[in-house]
Amino acid sequence: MNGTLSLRPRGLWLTTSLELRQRVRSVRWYVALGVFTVVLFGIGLLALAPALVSSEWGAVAPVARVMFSLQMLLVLFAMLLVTPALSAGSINGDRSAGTLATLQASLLSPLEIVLGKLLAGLITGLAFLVLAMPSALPLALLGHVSVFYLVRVVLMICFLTFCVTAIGLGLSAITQRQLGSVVLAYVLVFGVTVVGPILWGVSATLLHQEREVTGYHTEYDDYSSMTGGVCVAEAEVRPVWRMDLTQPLMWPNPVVMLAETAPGQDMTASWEDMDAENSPDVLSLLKFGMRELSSSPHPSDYNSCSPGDENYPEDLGSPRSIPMWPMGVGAWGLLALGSLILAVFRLAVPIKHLGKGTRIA
Amino acid sequence: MDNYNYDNYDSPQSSSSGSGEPPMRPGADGPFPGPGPATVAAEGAHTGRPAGGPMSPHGPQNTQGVPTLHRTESSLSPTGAPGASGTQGPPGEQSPGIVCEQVSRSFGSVHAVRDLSFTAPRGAVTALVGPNGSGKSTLMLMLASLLAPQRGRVLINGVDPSQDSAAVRTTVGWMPDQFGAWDSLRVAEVLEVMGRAYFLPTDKVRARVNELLTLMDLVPLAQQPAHVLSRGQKQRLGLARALVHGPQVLILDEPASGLDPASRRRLLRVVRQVAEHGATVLVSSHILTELEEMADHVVFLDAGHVVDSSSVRELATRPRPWRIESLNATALSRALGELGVRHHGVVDPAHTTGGHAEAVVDLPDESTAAKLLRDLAAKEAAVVTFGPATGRLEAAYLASEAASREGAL
Repeated sequence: MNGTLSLRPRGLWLTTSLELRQRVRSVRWYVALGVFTVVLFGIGLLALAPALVSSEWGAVAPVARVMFSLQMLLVLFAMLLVTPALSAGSINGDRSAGTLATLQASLLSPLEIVLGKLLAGLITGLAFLVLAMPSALPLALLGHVSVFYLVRVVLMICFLTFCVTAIGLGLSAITQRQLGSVVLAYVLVFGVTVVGPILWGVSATLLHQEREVTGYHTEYDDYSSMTGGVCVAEAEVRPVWRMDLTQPLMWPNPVVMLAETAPGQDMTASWEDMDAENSPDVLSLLKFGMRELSSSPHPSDYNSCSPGDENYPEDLGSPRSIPMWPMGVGAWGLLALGSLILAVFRLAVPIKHLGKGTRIA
Repeated sequence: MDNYNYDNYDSPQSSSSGSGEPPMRPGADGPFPGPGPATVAAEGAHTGRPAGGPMSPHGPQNTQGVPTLHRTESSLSPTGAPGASGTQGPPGEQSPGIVCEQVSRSFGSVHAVRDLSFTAPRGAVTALVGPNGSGKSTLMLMLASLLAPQRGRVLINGVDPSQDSAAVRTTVGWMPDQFGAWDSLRVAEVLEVMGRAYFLPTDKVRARVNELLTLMDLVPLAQQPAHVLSRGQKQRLGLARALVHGPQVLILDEPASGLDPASRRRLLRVVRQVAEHGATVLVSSHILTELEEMADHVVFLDAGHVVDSSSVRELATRPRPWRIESLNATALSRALGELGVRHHGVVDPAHTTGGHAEAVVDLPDESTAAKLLRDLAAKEAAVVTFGPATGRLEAAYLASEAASREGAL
């Protein structure tokens, strides 16, 4: 392998620190990070202010949970906004500046160069997460957010940052122009974040049909008192939605993946029955909504009877709630890993095949 | 235009066959007292590398304050980087530092390098000369282990970069033709980063950085951002960067480009010192006068292959034009006629920039030139300047087909 896969801590840290100094060593960066922190603090305080001022302490926890989930979404969006710009211009930008060949001619291995850039991108992207913590952690405490939920959210953001950075590096390695790879990276992020859900929504117009199903409804002896209900099965024609067929469009959606980290919610419970620890937040609502909308048709979908009704169909079962995050993690992970491997071998020297119009130095 | 037929030239007053090296410069001891002519002085400047041969010391007599480093401790000596053997025997006892055997490399339909073969010895400076697009930079990329040849073989100190790229990179210092600067790094930081990129011990990096900053006169700029440097300053930093790990093979692509005269002298001295410490130096430049002072050997490239190669000393035995300036056009013309020297015509002083009558003659070698000078003096041709109209490299280059090509020097 000609030293391509050598990995030494000194080499890794050198390229990481070089990349960090090169990319974020400016006042603008510190100002941007400071503004981000202040904005998150401000949003948290403004949201909690009414409850705090009116001393309605019972309302604090639900609001704090919602604000915590919103802040995590903001961190995700900030990362998605910043990371592609940094990583996707990293390799071809250095090539244009003539600094990549200098590193390639040194004893640094391609793996050290690529992983150093990856680590720098990861640190930069996660800076937003770290800076969000001073406001997010108090909100998590006030909202009784479980530690496991917090850890899952953090891990998912870390994973997505890693993947976006890795893919950006891969694009940067195979693209001649810096602008081209940055645009491609944003197209990818915009595609999975915005275009994917739009296509998924639009697919609803194509993926529904009128079909005969067995519906269950309750008939009462006395409709005025709603007593003596009997569950009656009846064949009827209803619109059947097959959003599950296009569900893969939503697998890599970063928002959906983040939402998948939220704890499961019993949405049938009344608001009064919800305690502070299982009141819904934005992420849990998204998770519930996505799983409901994208689940495959199930006989129980057409059952409007109550369990106490006579002849209640006990054998219908309930639709399986299939988690979406493994598919998302798999898709992102494979793409990220492939991108890293591609980037490493594109930086291997001596170069055997040079892309058209590519200059080494 | 007449041509000087040197084969028939024979001095009426001397039967000398041109053996030996008679004084070339009319001076106090010569037949033509008076101020030393510029052209002769320029030729004398060539001997700024003393006549002891290509390996002779060049730098100890430091007249411009350029630091001269000791062999054992110098950053110029091939040492430091891990994996470097650091052993240097007398040149000639080891294999050449650089060997290219029928190397070819194409980019699409463009054949940048074709069946190129040459060797560059250790302890000497080898110049690559050729017009734009002749394959110099491509060749250097292959030698720096950045680009693989499609055919043929490259050996750096006996190691093929395609087989063991890391070992080759340990021993090679490469200076590209354009300095790539990290925007956020200061000058000293650039060198520190490069020292670390060669995994030099941390405690040695700073010492080496300071040494190189001093050597390349970059101390006042040490804390300046590298990207704001002028082109010449960047070239100096680029050379320092290439030297940071004490390479055994130094590859310099257009190092003199953008340098002011003082910096060029410094570059010359540094490059000579590196070679004297046993390293193999390969340098390309379009500034042939500088190369002539710097190099021991020259390889002429054209259209991707070697069209000629020679030692710089051997070039002295090749024909080249010589310029003769005289205070008297008639006397010069008469003397040349009497000596049977064919020339390109005697230009009247009114039409020359120097205010002297000028004639250009083609002579086969320097000994013939010495004989002609002596004969002209005897003929009282009032010669005030006698010297090569071009440098050795330039004459050799101009004699090649490459010189007539578009993009030639």
